[in-house]
Amino acid sequence: MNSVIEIKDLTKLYKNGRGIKNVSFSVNKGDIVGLLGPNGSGKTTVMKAILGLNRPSAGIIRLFGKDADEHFEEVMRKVGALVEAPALYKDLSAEANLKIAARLYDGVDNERIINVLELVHLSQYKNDKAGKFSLGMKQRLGLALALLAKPQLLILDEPVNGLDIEGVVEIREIILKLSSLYGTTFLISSHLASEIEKTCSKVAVMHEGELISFDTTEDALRLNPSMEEYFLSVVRNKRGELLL
Amino acid sequence: MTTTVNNIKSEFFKLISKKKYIVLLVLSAAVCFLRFGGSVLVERVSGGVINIKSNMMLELLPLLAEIIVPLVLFMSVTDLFASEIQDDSLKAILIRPISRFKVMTSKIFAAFLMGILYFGVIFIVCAFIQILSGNSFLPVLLPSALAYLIDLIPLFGIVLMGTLINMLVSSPTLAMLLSIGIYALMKYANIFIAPFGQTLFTAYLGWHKLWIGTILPIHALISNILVVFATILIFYALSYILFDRKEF
Repeated sequence: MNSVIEIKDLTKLYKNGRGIKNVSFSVNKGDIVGLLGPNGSGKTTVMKAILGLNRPSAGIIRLFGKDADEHFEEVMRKVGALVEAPALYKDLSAEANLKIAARLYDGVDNERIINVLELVHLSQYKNDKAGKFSLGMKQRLGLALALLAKPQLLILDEPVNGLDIEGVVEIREIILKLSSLYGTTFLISSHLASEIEKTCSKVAVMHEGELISFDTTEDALRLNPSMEEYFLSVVRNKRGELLL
Repeated sequence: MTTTVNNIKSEFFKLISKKKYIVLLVLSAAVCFLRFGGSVLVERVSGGVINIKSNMMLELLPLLAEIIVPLVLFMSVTDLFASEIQDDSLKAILIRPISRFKVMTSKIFAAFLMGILYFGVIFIVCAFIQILSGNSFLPVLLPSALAYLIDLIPLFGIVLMGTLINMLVSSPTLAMLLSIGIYALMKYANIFIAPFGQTLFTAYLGWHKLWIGTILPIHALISNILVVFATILIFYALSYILFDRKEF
């Protein structure tokens, strides 16, 4: 299988002693991998390390078979990302935000910008300043920015944050559609087990900076009635607690 | 190279979208007209006895090169670095296929472009006033244009000084205050602390004055060129080291 993300012994320790320790996993082409864990478990740190936003203390990150740091520009052409709150230029319109990003890719034209705005239902607000958008609209624009260059790998950190029920369902449908139509690979973080259950083909559980399990969703649900139960069982297992 | 050029366009677009730069440019142009109005007023009041003949382009260059444009350059780098770090929008570019070196370089050049825009607009306004005033125009046009071009070079050092300060502090307000404060201290040193003050690049912001005259002071020029370019290199290298180590 083609490995899109390979992470080996990734460690990133912050000054306060928190961070991630010896995280290793790989994501294959077409996978939708969910990083599940509570706030502060290290999901965002893993994503930031993959995207070069932080400098790992140790470990190897390979994207599309190449060292992510050495071949940064080459591999990032195939990656779209939405990390934490969407990074937007608040003084500029939605369309201008997309145009700025589009300049860094070959073949991303105005038509593509219109398409992604339609995809996230922001066409009618394309001339409005991003700073005036609601949290949900900002999240949609962030997603449009991630989808802009038709990436082969999408890294989405809490993508349904701030969205209403309808928005959550729409994002889920977009993810599943891209995966089935184009074989896009996803790494999605969430603290909502139900969201991971409905969207992802594989699940990685993060707890206190460590990766404590990595299973297919099918395997995870074989012995557990829900993803929530699966999460609780692996966390309790890690703590050495008795399963009731 | 294409990526860097494209990103310079984007960074400059972000700057020019902010109204404050246009407002300040209009105010700067207004200063040129006020200066012209002053001359006309003096001439009228004195009944034509006092007639001020001057090269408006060169007369306003020190104000532009040593006060207005440094301020604009500090504002520009602060908007492109510290402000974007503070409001988290810098991540928008860092997760794109462009290296940090290119990101920093394109921001620096976009800020410098803003300085060039100010120089260009004020030069045109002053040239227009020069024609309007009926003073000698064509003979002073080329030397004045060259003076503007020469004075742009040390301003690149100002952009890099601002960039380095932005790498060291995270607050845009503090970055702006420090930039202005340090610049003011350096200018003070240039005037009052000789010969140490002359080793600082800010002593050469009115660089064109050295090139005026029948005999060029070659030794002084070489020494000054080395000071300016060494400063630019040091600021560039230090800024990049700090920017590359930043975590978001």
